[in-house]
Amino acid sequence: MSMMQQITLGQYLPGNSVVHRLDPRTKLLMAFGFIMVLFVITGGWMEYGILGLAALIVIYTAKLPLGMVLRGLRPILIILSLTIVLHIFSTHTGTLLFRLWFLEVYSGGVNQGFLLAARLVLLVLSTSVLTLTTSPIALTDAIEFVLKPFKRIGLPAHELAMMMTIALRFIPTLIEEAERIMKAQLARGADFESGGLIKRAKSLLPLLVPLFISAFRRADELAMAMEARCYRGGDGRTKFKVLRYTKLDFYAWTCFVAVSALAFYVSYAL
Amino acid sequence: MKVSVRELVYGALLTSLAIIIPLYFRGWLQIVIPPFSATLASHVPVMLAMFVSPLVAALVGVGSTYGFFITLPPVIAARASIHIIFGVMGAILYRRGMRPWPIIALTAPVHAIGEALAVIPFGFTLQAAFVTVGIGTLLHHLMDAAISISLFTALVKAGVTFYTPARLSKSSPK
Repeated sequence: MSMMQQITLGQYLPGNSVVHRLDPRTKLLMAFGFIMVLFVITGGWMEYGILGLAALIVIYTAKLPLGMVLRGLRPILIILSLTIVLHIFSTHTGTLLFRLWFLEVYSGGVNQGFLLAARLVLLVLSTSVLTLTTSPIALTDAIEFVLKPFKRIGLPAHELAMMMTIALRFIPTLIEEAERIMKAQLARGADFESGGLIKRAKSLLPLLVPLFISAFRRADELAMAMEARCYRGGDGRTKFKVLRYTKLDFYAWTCFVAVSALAFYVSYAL
Repeated sequence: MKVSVRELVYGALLTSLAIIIPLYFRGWLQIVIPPFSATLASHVPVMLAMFVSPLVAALVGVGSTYGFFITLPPVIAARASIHIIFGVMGAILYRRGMRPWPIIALTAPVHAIGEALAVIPFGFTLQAAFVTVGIGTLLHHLMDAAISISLFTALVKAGVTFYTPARLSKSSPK
């Protein structure tokens, strides 16, 4: 299997669900909103339950395989376990559940550990749903829109979006290039995998030097081609695919505001 | 802020490489000391961007943060966001005529402390953040700096044009 097939680049899963059809700006702002709500609410099981249920409904509506979404949590399993264990043994509030030699486990510690883990899981789930249902190019367009107000303070929003579009476009090309160079160097007897860290770092140079030279050459050619076609930045530039809000976005925002308001009500008023 | 086409494209290609390296080399160049993990050479693109311009360093930092956000868990993206700070800082120091190794020495603590602070909201304890992530990042920074400076020298010899401060124009880059 080639490296290209082993690497999941951008986690986008194409589909035609309601969530997939939402405007990328709506999804991006909602994901940010969801994270803000997670950090602002005081954090009890009721609040996290409401937000968790909402996240599950979105995953179901988006027709995302639950296994795939949960796989996104695999890289943070160590952090999750560490968070739970450290809180269980370091928080001494509530009633004493049991004592293990010098370690004491209190109900408050167990509760706190699992609450923090739940917050972390919800945080990762919200970003996973965003990236699984929105193509990288659509997401880049949405980011350009979100960054537009910052143009007034000199932030090059269009250039940043254009740079990301070029970067994402060149990822498969550069991976193929890296693979080709690696095979060529292996045929010449290069050894990338054995030895200690320093030896492996040194062995990287025969791979990195041609890869970077080729990337810089491509960059020079592309810059020349863009200048030859009179590229002059974002001012007055039109878009091939224009982003448009639909009724679906309005309904999605209504649901989002209702869920957030309910979480805030449970958190602060009850 | 005006971005030239060349800066834009250099930024894009270096961002591509910044996203590719941790994904492509993850299997055999990854160092894992739970809860810290790092891939050797992953800082090379942002370190090379320092030698192009502060703007390109910032763009590569922002681009790699975004790239990690859409490909890897958010904690990695939060750590990558610190590359914007140390990248721009290094690029400014280079423009002022400082040599690469002192720049690396000055940016290393900023990078290490920044990454330690960035992981705290994700549930890392202070000890895990500052001891494991902080020291791990510091060592990773130095290893990647050695690779970047060797690569920079090789690229200059191969004819790739980087910005050369007047103070360094008649001496070796080291």
